[in-house]
Amino acid sequence: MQRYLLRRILQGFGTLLVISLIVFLLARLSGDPLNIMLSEEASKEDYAIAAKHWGLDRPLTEQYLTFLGNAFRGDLGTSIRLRRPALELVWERLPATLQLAGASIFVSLVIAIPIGVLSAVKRDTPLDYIGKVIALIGQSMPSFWLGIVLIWIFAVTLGWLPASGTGSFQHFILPAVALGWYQVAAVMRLVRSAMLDVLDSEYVKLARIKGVAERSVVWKHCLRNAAIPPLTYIGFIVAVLLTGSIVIETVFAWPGIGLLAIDAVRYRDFPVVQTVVLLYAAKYVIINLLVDVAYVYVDPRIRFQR
Amino acid sequence: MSCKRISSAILSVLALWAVTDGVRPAPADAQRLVVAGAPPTHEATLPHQGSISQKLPTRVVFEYLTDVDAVTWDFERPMLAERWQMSPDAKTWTFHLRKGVPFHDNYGEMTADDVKFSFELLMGKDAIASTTSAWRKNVDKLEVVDRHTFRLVLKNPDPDVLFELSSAREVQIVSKKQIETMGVDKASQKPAGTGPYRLAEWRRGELMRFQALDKHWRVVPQFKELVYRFVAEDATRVAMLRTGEADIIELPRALKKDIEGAGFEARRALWPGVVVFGIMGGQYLKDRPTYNPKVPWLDRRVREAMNLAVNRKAMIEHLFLGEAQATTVPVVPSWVKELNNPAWKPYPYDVERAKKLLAEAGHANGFTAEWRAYPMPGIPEMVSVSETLQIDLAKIGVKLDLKLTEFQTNRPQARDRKLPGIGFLHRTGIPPDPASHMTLFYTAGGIQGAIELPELEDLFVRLNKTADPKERAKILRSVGDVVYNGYHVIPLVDIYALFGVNGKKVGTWKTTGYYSFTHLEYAQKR
Repeated sequence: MQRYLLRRILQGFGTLLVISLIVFLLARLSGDPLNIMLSEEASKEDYAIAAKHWGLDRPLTEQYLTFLGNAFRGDLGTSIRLRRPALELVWERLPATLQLAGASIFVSLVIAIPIGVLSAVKRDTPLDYIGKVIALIGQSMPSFWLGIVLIWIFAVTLGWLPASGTGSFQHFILPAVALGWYQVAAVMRLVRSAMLDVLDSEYVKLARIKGVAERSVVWKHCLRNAAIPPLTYIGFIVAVLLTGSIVIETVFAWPGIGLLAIDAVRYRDFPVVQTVVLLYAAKYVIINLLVDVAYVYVDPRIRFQR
Repeated sequence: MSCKRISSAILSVLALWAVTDGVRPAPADAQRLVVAGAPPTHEATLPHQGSISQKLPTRVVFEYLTDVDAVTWDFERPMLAERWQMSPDAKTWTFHLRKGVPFHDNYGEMTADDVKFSFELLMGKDAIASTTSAWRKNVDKLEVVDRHTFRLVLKNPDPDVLFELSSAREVQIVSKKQIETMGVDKASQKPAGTGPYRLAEWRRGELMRFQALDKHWRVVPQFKELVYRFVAEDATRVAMLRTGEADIIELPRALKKDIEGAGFEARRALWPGVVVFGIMGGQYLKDRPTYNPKVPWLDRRVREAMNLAVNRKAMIEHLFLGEAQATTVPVVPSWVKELNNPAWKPYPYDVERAKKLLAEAGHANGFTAEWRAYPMPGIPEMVSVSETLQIDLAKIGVKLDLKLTEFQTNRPQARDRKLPGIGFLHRTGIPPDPASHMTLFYTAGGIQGAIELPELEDLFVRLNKTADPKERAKILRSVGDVVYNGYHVIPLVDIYALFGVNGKKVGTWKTTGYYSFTHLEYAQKR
């Protein structure tokens, strides 16, 4: 068991190394950051001075090994644009991203579950059709467009909510709805189809024969048994949302990791790009590792195969 | 999950909402001025850490040796320097500093040591300011004559150095004591300047909040708090103005009618701040390895034809929605009479004559040329302008092969003169003193490399030898004559910056519009 764990950790570590190399090379293929960092009036001499200062004049292998060496010590470089340690910047933005992710998942569940359940229960009725239309609209509406429309209706026209920024509970609502709306459609469809399967099952029929109230049959017996597929999907969405939403964060000027990442890419801020991508990768590596470990405990066959 | 649980969760959230904020967002504080602009390329505070756009928010924190008047564009007004003397050769400048000006947070009185230190910071190894290059090249010595006298010795004469030292540019005076005590990293979190506002809070990627000083030698702002919010999305900025979350915004021209229709003001800067023009690459000196005599626009008739084929009026009306004017010689400020030749008029739109000229030059069937198009901050119309040029020039048979690229990709190639026969657009600021800017575009040593001509080289050599303002203006006019009469570039438009303003809250506020917001400390309450 210990050997298996050790092997999986080493594999994860190797994956991160490969990713770090790919990101390092791809970032540099996208162009010279000095072209963005330095002013239009900078001369070749200024380029040389800046390149030396930022270590960009050294061979790529040396740059990569330096980056790797520093990364082992927890130093992922200093942002060229913001002049602060890249890791510190990511940690600084993480709370805003987590808050938005949490709020959007909450919004999607609160809307999607009741509609999904009702669509299944009232199958092929106008209520089901309305649910299908909501799902269709949700999945086909670009989130940036939805964000702007929400701003226009609830901030500009009705004046109920702020158009952008952070600072209060109200600030969460529009970005959370805009971000969660797409999930609403997906979760709703999953709940509906899972519920349809469960509603036809023998134990539900038995519950009805036993005289259990219909409300209890649907919301207690059926929903609980239909929850696996939507829960699996939500788990996946949580992982995606933790990396921030570039579009929604830009529209609502929400200072999360997504906005940090897109600005870093736009301004070729290599250290921040590398840090964000490495953390994304590390997150998936760790989640996979945990899942694998969980499998070992859940399924003894895996333990013995190893 | 039961229905009851879901309902109670929803009710809890609504209760929390009601308790925390109520339904409507809090109205903007009457003491607070909120401005919203696009995020700067470098979000930093100390002057050496970014380009001019980085300094937009901190213009209220730091002060400069000389001041700019937003109404007259006069940049020879005292600020931290009360008076100054220029040596006859315009190489040595002596500044007598204002006494008793304190830095924020008890970092002591501003002295000549701080001025010297500020220059050194701007020229340091990690400096990436827009003018770092120019200062590195031209500063010979920085001397502290006494506590309140500072001397700047230049390698080459520069009678117009006062503009570079003004509040429109980058020499912000920092506290030597603060930076030496705290180090650059810590000092940059809360820099001490001498301006009428001090930095109170900085949420990276989101906002900077400034508090007005109760006493200040120059101006005590009417708004006790200034918040500068970084908002990339145009539509969001407009929504912020309309909801009262912002009082002044950078306004995209396309959304001007939206805010006017809603009772807000679209205020234009007093002066055009940016020029857009086309550069026809390859007009290099003949000894350049990349000089290619076969480039069609080395023939003056071709350049004239291309200029005559452009419908500038339509471009201004439809692309810039009237918020621009046709330009004659790029970078020369149209409002400085001494620098303009009255004979310079926008080139007319004359397709027939253009075709004739092209035929005379041996291109009766036209030709094809690569044209680089790229977006640039502040001018969302850049790519559309290139597309418009493509349509206009197609009428005379010149087919522009548009290549969408990045400015940053094109720039080093232009600098290294590697674009013979390739055209591209450029946009740059229009300073009231254009000498150094013209050097960048119209000399062989210039970074931008729009044109290289022996006669221009001679003119700039003469310019650098004289300190007489009249003679310098005459030489710059001659440069303009060469550019204008030779049709060397495709001058298009001078553009005015546009701002959306909540006129019910903000009264008088004048701005040059040079690199967006200026003079916010003088904004008055309605």
